Amino acid sequence: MAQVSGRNYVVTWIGLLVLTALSFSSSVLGPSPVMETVIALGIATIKASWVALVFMHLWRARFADRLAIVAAVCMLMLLVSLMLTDVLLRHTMPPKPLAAAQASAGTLLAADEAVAQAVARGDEAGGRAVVAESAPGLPDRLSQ
Amino acid sequence: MARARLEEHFEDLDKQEHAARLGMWVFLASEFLLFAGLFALYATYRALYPEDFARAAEHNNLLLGTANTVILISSSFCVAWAGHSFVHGRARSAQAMLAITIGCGLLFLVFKLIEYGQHIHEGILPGSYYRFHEFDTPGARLFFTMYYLMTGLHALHVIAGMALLSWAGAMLLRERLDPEHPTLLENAGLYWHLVDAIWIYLWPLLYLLR
Repeated sequence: MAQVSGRNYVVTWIGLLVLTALSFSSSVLGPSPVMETVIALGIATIKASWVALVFMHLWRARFADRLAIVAAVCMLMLLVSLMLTDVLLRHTMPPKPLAAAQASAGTLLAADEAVAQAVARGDEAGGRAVVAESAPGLPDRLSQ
Repeated sequence: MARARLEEHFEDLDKQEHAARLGMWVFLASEFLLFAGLFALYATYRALYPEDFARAAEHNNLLLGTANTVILISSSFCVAWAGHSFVHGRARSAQAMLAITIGCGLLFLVFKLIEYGQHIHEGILPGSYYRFHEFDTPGARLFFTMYYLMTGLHALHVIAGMALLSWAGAMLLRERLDPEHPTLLENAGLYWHLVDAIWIYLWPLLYLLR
């Protein structure tokens, strides 16, 4: 089994802690949201790769061992890219689920209470109206 | 020290260890894919509710989250050092480092429970149990549901990792491991490093991007 020198482990550990501090301070400094995401995820990728290569011995591992995790990472990248392109390029109305709820009924809890009060009054039609207005597409709770 | 036992269907110990190593890596890849689904879901909802997610992340305890990151990274070093010590004949040192690793896992879980307690106290609960009136939008609810799902699943993996490490530790104490083929210790360490790597990604997504 290929050996990693003890010093490599210590260097990796210190490096990971340094990168953690870097990530933390960059978030505190507060760059633009896009830059912050890029920096945070970029540093996280470097850290995870470093753990994999040194601590998990991937640097000297056989091809088959590396292939397993590389294939899984490729699957993740495929999954995320396809999901994001789907969701970000939609032209449905509303584009987000429950977007109308934020606009009209204020909070979801307020909508819940409005429905409960309508049910207590025996006002089924009023209750359904609140549900339809606040959360289009949700199953009708009054009919459960 | 014990000698590893050659199972009947392998030609030699090296091939046996190769098979065990590859089996572990394939399993790690499957665990990675398990979290990949949650990460993809997080990415999608974040793209839909960017402001809500950023604002919701401010309600997470950055100090505890960062402490947990440092704890897990250090525990990864400890278990790697344990494997290194054992292969070089220092079984006592290996036992000590393994014990420290498990202790770090326990500390992680304690901090996590404290965090969950803080959230529950404020009324932040997953799904339809959400009762945090100061910030109640669909985006906030989704963030915290994802937070509970991802950290909860991760915490389960921490517990499983601690169980594996304890098993390896028990074998180590009973001198049942072979320094030239420490398969159980190596594989338990691999699982623990994966748990650490997953947290390395969870931490910025749930605590830093605010």
